[in-house]
Amino acid sequence: MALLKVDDLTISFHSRTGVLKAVDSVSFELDPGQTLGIVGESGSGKSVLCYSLLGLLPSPPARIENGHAMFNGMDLLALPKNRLRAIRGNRIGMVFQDPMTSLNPYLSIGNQVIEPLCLHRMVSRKSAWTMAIQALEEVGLNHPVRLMDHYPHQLSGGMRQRVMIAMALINKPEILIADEPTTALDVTIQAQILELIRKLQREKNITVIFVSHDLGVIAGIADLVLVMQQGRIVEHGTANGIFQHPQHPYTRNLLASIPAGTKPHGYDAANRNQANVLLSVQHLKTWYNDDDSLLGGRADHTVKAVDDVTFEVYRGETLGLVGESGSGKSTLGRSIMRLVEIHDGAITLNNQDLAGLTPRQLKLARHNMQMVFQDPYASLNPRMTIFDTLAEAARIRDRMSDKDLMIEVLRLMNDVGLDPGQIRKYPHEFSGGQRQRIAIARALALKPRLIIADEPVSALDVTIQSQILELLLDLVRKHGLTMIFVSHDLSVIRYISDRTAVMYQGRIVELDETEIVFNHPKHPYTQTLLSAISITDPAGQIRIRGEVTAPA
Amino acid sequence: MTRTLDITAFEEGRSLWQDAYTRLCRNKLAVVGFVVLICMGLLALMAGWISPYSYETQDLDLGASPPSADHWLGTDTLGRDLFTRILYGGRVSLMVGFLATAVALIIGVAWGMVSGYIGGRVDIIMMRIVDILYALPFTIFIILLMVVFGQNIYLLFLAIGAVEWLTMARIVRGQVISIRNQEYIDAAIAMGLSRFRILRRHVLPNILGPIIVYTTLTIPNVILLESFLSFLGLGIQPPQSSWGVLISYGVETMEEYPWLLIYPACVLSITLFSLNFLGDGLRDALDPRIAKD
Repeated sequence: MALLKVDDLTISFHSRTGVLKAVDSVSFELDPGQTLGIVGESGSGKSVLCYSLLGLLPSPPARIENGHAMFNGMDLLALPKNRLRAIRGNRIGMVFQDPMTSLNPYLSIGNQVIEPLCLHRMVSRKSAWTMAIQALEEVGLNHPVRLMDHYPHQLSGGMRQRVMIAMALINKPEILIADEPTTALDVTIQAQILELIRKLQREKNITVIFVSHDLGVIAGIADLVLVMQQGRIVEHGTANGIFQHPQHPYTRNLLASIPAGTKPHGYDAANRNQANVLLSVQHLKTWYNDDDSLLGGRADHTVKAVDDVTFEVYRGETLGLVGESGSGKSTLGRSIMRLVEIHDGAITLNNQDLAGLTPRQLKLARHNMQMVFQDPYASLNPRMTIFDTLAEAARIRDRMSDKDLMIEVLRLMNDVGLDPGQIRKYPHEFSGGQRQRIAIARALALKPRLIIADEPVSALDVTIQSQILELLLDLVRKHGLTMIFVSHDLSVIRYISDRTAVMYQGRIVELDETEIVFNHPKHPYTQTLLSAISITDPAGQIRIRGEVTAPA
Repeated sequence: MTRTLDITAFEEGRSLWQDAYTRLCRNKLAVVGFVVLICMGLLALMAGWISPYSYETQDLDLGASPPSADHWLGTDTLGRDLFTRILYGGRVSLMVGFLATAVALIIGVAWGMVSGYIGGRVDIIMMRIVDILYALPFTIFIILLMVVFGQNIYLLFLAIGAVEWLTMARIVRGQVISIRNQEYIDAAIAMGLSRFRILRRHVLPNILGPIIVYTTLTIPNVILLESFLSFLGLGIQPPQSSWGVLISYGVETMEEYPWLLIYPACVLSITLFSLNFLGDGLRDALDPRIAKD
């Protein structure tokens, strides 16, 4: 008998501008002990679906139009508030996306973990404390007794997510809902958390609903998969079936969008000679110290974000810069752009030393290098139309007549695949992918030799991501650009870069041809990184599973 | 393909300001507010033509009389026509309100933007100066000005402006700090734009909302502050009047002659309402994310 049976569920959001169907006639069944993966891009309704099961949707604007969610003979959607509260955190546990914001910073870990126990069960504080310590131990946290007195800010993201899982599981729920639980985490930590959820699911025979935008993660953890698009289930089946024989065009598109394999065109290694060096970075150090008091003083809080980094980039090649959060990869990019003050070292671009320039010279030198930023929602001025944004950049290099300027802006828009009819629109009228195209066009407007792309696709959905990667590859080829591509995503790096540099704690630990780094990693950190990715690589998953179950 | 496009179709420049103007015109309440403010200003300017009375002519036999056909809004205890005094008072109040606020606006916005954008030591020093000025007792400051310069209506603007810009500077600084951490500021720096241009094109338009809201709050503050300064002797001298002076006088005689309070207060309220409608309209009109249809 099914543990959870969702039947014809429709949820819509009502606002002044109209009605939006977030979840549209969704039905599925879930048996005890199964793991259901819900996958879809942003706006597909996957999170709304999960939130509705626990009555967490704000209403208004959300309204449940139709449907039931039967859990042990109760309709979760129609339960009175007090009975729903008895289920939340007790028989259904939930883990949220961002471990940085889902723990209360003013309560110690201990006080937070015992809260669901004290709430739902008649236990004394003392025995709750003991049970909480045991729960922390089960999710693989070291020194749980000491940890109970710590506060969230003293824990890393991965540790916090373990605490969240411990809290969700402490009352031995029948269902665990995990809404993008690993999205905010680094890939090595993600692999650990996935392993943990899998282990706990097996040991305790919990039913898990796992929501993610990441097909690799879903492939690694789920038995059953729902593929959602615009509120509807477009495909529903076993993980093996869906990943090996996707039926719906949308699923196929999603799978095809995952950057796989290597760069479509190779870079001729013979071009890497001294005459072709475009950018040379020697012993670069960027240190932060948070001393901004009036009288100076303590300088003991120095963070060595970039610590003695040396490398060269040759004309026309794409260098991938990969590392986890805090490795200094973004700071390195910003140091080269001189957006942050560097502490020591030399940066030579096109035979010009950037470190010793006066502000006026630096302004001119910046025409030779441009940056594409991570968040296309923050990198465009919301009060400037696309024309204004691109015209401002185009005018910096050359003074031109209004007519030439218009032609130039239209050419730029054409270059990045934007409809010229949208020239007078403001950034908020565009989607994330289109905004990133605008940001790329703005960088190109100055006709730079070097583009530093700082995680340009990590805020985008996977289908959009592949379009932007294609665009970048295209532009690099067309304009003979040199690019430094910063990313935490190994598959993206492998797809786009000729050479790959791996950063760890402010240093480059490995730098070589991309294929050599990926196939024969030398540094232990690179090896760890690569082993973490194989867990969440759908191709890898399918291969492993395929050998066991492939019918043909 | 692009080159064959009809370029003229895109050539009509549509800047933020033009967009804002179109959007503002569509906001009826804001337009009404604007028209009312203009009317108030014109009435005050043309007071001499509109009213047959002078603001200083006393008619002691008449004394305080309620509104009548001769004196539309009644007379005060010295028999002076209230309508006339409100019109003349409007000159002082509106001028003080807008000019002193403009002074506060210009100094405060410039100071706050520089302090917030440059940051570091410059920011610390500039903000400590603001703190010191905050701590200066306002009345003593005024008396000092009087002693040094004597009585002068222009000192009024200086005195009020000197106080009101402090809060504006703080508000602007806070806004600038949050804006300067946005990536589009980094992008602008990376393009090689000058600091001045970044502040003008990228920072200022994005902090206009709070600035406008605070400005509409400052104007009534300033208008009432003037009556306090006039009481101290700085500012206007009797028999001249202003709305602030009329209201504070009206409060004293509220029980016997209520019209002396009601009418000046109504005029001030109508002005402030119009100002707020116009301010809200401006704020919305300058934000392309709102009211786009």
